Amino acid sequence: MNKLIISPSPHQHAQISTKMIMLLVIIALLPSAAASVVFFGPRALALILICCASSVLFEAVCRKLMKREQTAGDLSAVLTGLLLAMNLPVTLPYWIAIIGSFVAIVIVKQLFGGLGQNFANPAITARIVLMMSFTSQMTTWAVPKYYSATNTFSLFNTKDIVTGATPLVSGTASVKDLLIGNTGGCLGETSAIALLIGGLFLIFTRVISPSTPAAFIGSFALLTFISGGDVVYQTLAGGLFLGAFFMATDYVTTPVTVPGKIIFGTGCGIITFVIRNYGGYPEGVSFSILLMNILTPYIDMATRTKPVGGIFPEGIFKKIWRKGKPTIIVTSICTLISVLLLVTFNATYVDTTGVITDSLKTGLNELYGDGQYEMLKNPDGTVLTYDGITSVIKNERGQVAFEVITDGYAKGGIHVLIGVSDNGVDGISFIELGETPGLGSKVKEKPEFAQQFIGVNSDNYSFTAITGATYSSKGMKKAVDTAVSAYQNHKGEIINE
Amino acid sequence: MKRLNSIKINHAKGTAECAAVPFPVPSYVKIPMSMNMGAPCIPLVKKGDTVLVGQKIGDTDAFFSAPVHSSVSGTVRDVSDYRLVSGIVCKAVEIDTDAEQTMAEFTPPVINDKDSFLKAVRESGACGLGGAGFPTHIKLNPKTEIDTLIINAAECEPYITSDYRQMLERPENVLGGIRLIMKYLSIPKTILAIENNKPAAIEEFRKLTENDPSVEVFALPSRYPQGAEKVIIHSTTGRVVMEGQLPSDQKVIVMNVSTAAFIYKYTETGMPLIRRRLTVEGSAVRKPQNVIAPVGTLISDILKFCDTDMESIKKLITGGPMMGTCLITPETPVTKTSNSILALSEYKEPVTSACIRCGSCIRACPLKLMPTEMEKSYKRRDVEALCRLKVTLCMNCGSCTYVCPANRRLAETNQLAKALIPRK
Repeated sequence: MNKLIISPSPHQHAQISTKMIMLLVIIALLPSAAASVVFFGPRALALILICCASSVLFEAVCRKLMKREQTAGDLSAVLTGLLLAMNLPVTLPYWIAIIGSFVAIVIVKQLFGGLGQNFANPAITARIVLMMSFTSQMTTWAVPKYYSATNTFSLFNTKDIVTGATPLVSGTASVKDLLIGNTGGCLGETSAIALLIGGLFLIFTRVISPSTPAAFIGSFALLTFISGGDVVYQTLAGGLFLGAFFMATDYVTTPVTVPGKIIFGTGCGIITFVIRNYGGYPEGVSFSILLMNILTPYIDMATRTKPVGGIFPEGIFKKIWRKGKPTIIVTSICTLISVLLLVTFNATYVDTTGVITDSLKTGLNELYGDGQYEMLKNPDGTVLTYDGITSVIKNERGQVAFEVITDGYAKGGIHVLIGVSDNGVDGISFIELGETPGLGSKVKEKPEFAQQFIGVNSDNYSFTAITGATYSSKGMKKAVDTAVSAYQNHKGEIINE
Repeated sequence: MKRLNSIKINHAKGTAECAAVPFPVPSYVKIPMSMNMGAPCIPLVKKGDTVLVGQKIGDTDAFFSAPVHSSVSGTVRDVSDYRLVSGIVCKAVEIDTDAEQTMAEFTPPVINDKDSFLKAVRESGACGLGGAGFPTHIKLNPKTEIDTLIINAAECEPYITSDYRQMLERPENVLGGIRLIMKYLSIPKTILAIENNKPAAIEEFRKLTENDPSVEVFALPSRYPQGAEKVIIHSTTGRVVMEGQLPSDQKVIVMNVSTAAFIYKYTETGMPLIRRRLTVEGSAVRKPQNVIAPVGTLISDILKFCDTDMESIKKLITGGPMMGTCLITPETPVTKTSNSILALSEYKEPVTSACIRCGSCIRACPLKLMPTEMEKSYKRRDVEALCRLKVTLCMNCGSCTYVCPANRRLAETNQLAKALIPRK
């Protein structure tokens, strides 16, 4: 007879393994992956395969070097790679995608001890690192075209790809396009329906709890509704569904209990709303998840289960504190941040209306050289303004400059002085540029761009926009047009002042 | 009322329709002197003595214990040291049977009040037959007033059907036992709790108690672990047995259905606890069935009787697959508390991987403990955290280990962690 196996009870186990859970999540992502290939062509598939393969390779090499048991086969690295690919634009160079895999697997996951030990979501963190390091490439969104043999993106040449803004920035996509996915964006964030199918599959197979996505999308939609935004559009556009169903539900980096998951989801929703509406970035899903990842240990601590029959020696106030602790902590953190923002804003705000500030003076000197500049006033002493013109400044030589603040990629991102005379535009000088570094900022950094506008004296002219900075370019044109029309319409008034 | 967490497991009650077969008298039995909780008995016989069926062969002055009787007639081969499954060493009386099964003289006990009832129960050698082996006369003598008697017929462990067969084959014994206990302990109400995967038993007892409003047949959901004491109390009455409390503090007594049936049988015949009904199952057993075996019969004899492929056994378990104990050898005797023998020919020890914090164990724990947190605290040997997480409440039902996708041995860790907690 064999030697009997001795082990502690239980002697049977559920037919579920880590690998199977990973497989289910991968299956749930397949509709979105398929949609991305349909909309963006074979290059999307190539990007997905490269991300997955490089992730597995990094995992295998890491485990080998660290002399730990080999875990490259548990599909978790494949899933990380797939999720990372879902967060990348189709035009991204392959080598950048590989850097993303490196960040996700080696830095975020393995250096912290591998599966189950990382505090932040590897794919999200990799996306943010790439976003910061390769802003231009990471925000070049291809306009999707249905795949066909002749009309497709080349696997290696991405120069001819038509690019546009994501629906979150343009605000113009139709709801139908958003649902199906016929919009620009990352591979995985275009088709809301495909993401929803995957998400529901995960909820149905009980891989994820519905509480996180419900709290995330719910709190975001509620805030958007209260603030008067377009709830359906804001919910469907961008990475909200991808984040809510696939990233904010990652086991390792989110709370374990249902109350914890609800707090986590709500926090994500609030932060996403704040970043989208008041932040410098058009999209806030990834930042919100990363920030909440950091809070996870505290949420976990605050939402421990209360064992049935457990006796806790505590008074009534302590009990209220324990029951309400998660709410109290999260609320106070949010309040504190808001108060800090308000205080900082108020402390640094100086009313410069009607004053030629140093930055304005520098700009004026650039335009017309040194001189006696004066801001034009109405008879009642207030600053003279026209439609779209913040102020009008004239020097003793009669040269006129218009101060214009207009929207580029960011709200009010373009703040310029435009000198106009009878010969048309004399010159443009930048006061402040809130545009994306490396992209929108090129309107200033490339002098030949601004040069195009010299001499313009009507709104009927052609100009070349900067690739990847469509909105900044358009904003510049708008500023110039505003200044030119203001000069022409109010010439007499300005000259005689 | 919110139900406690539970898990769904395959019931595998393949032997439910197998009427219990009396096991032929074995040629040799080995009766341990410690088969229930409490002090081990002192052997009353010595090598060479002749013993009769039902003769008392072990007893002790300790109150928290129950006497041991011979299940066969024959000659004492030896009184030897025997290591129990729990690791404790006690004496065991080894008997060569004479195949005659000569009965000792029995007279039904004279019972006229609570004291004589409890005395009779102690004499019978009764203990909790569900597996824990709590001495019955102590359970029936609580310090507080009891308003409900809960008869545990959940049998939530997979495979085991011995309690179910007891209910179907001798329902009158079950009800007789219930009425005796209610009468002598002045308990107004009884809840007979049966999992709803045993509709035949529920039906039978509903019919039998039609005219008796004091006995309620309660259908439990067939989810594991309904049969755990705290869980069954919560499921049937909604009461919570707090940390450090006994069920009697919540005015209930929980008793296994076979124990109740045995008490009735004893008061009728005077025959002490010397046999037990047990389920023999597992992939190595070719003829899975229920048998009624004399206490002390070697498990190897029973397995052979059930046509087991002895060579193929990889794992031998007494009790159910969720909470049962592994045996190191089939030459182990059946005790009063053995309700099942599982002989598995297929068993692969699952490979443990890293915790992915999926939270399955927390959702599975009937007592809402956090096994994953306790495991981390145990690794740090953080006794304070373990106390705060209430590791002492863990009843080792094994649900957490069962559901863990990383196959972590959470239930085992909890038991190890308990050892770190200083006793008050």
